[in-house]
Amino acid sequence: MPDKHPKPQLSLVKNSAGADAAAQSSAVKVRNFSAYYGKNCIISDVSLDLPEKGVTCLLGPSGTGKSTLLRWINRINEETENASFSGSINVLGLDVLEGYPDVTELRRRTGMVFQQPCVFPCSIYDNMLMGLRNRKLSKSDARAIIEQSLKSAAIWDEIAHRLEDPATSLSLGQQQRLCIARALVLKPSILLLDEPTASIDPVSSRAIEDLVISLGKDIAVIMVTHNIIQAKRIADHVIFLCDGKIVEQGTRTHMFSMRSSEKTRTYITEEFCDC
Amino acid sequence: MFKARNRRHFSEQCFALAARLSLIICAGILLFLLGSIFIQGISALSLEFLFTPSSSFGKSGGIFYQLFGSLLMVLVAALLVLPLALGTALFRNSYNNNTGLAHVMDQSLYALNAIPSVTYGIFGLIFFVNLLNTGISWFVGSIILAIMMLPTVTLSSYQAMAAIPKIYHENAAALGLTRTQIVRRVTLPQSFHGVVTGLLIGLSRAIGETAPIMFIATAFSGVTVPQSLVEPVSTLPTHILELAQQSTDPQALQNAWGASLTLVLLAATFSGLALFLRSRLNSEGHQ
Repeated sequence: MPDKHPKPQLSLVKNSAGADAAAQSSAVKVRNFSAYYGKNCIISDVSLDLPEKGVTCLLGPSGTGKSTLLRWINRINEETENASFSGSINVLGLDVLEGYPDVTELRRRTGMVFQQPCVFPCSIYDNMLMGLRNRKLSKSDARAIIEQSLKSAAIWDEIAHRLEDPATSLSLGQQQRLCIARALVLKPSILLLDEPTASIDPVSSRAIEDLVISLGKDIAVIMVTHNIIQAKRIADHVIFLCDGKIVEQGTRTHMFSMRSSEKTRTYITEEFCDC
Repeated sequence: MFKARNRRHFSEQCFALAARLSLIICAGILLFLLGSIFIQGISALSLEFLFTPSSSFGKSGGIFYQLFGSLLMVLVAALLVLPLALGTALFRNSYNNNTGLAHVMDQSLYALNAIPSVTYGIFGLIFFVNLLNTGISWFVGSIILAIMMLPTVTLSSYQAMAAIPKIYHENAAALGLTRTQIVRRVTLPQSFHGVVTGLLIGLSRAIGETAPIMFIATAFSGVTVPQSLVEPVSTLPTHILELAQQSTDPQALQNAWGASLTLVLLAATFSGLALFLRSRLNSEGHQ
């Protein structure tokens, strides 16, 4: 019986010209994608490929459709009123609409962490258990997975002795790492991060950045940010979006030292975009 | 310019005075009413009064069966209304994507809330007692009270659900939880206080109602603990009504005050619990 969700063989997309070549080995393939809220077009005719491993930063000023694009990859935007899209998004070899008739399967394969740390008002352990509800696991197996995920999210040492404490008792930085750990229990192939450090302090931000770099070695991490310094620190691949269009994309080296677009140069050096 | 400032200052003073006066009048009426009931009723109130059956058409004895009847009817009404209100609120909050239908639902609930309570009684009389031939039944009374409470409990539950930040739903959905699992794991636990608050507010209103149950569920005297669903009970509001008709008798009047105070205390207990839960909900929301 053929695998319903075949694992793509990937290599990093080197630059915009190399995008098509890498299309066969991408975790996410986006083709002629436009996104709308009601009649407002937020993203217009975007095509891109996101590699199977490594950290991809969607960079650009506010309101350029970075989060919207991210939110369509796991169809979480379906929950938003008047949101729609045209074109196609292919995640792990399957079309997000036709390949995943059960959207929950898509979401289990693509973990997501939002801008605001959001823990459920229950214990730390129950928060971690939330994603495992669909899997019939023994208590010891569930505990092992939870421990592993907390270790992967570099928070185990801080909270191992207080798993039964309310998750709301953690600091914001810890809550955000807990959210990442909570997403990791599902062992996703792709992790979507929507400005995960936007509302936390610099020390916690650095901890999360280190975590993102470490996770990027094994899975595809797609992170929205408008923090240029952060993108420079953590990204393997950068996609610069402006006014709902891709201005330029490529490896970190390409984007931060050999960039060709004037708009990219202005944004990266002056943190200003006139598009 | 000086005159204009003086005029503005004067109008502000007048407005503040009018607002204070309104508050004093409202609080005064409430205090007078509650104070009268308390002062007149406290002398009748005792454990013996609460746990002794009435006799001589209420003139002597206590209010045991009336208290029992009232509590039985409203608690069964609560059991009937809770799943219905919760289901409606959940549909409105989590399953309905049609804004037109949501609008119709809201308007219908507000309209249902505005119907005079006696109309519910007449409906019960025509539909249950006459058409379905149930006879005078405390259970029919509970059904009618449940219908009467439905808008309050539904709207309160829905508002509690709608107040849950959308980010919780999105986080749960992003973890691969199905809609039903999100309802069970996120919506219901987080709106629990709001649902119970609505239920208690509904109960505090229902327990004092006389008109909707007078024709269909209660008897003025001679009833004890009902042995089946289709027997009448006696309730505090109808007992007070009966005693008020004998107000020339000092003993009946004294018992009427005692029964009134008991009813007020019951309603206040439900309202107080609702207030407590609401304040707890608010404080949790600010955390």
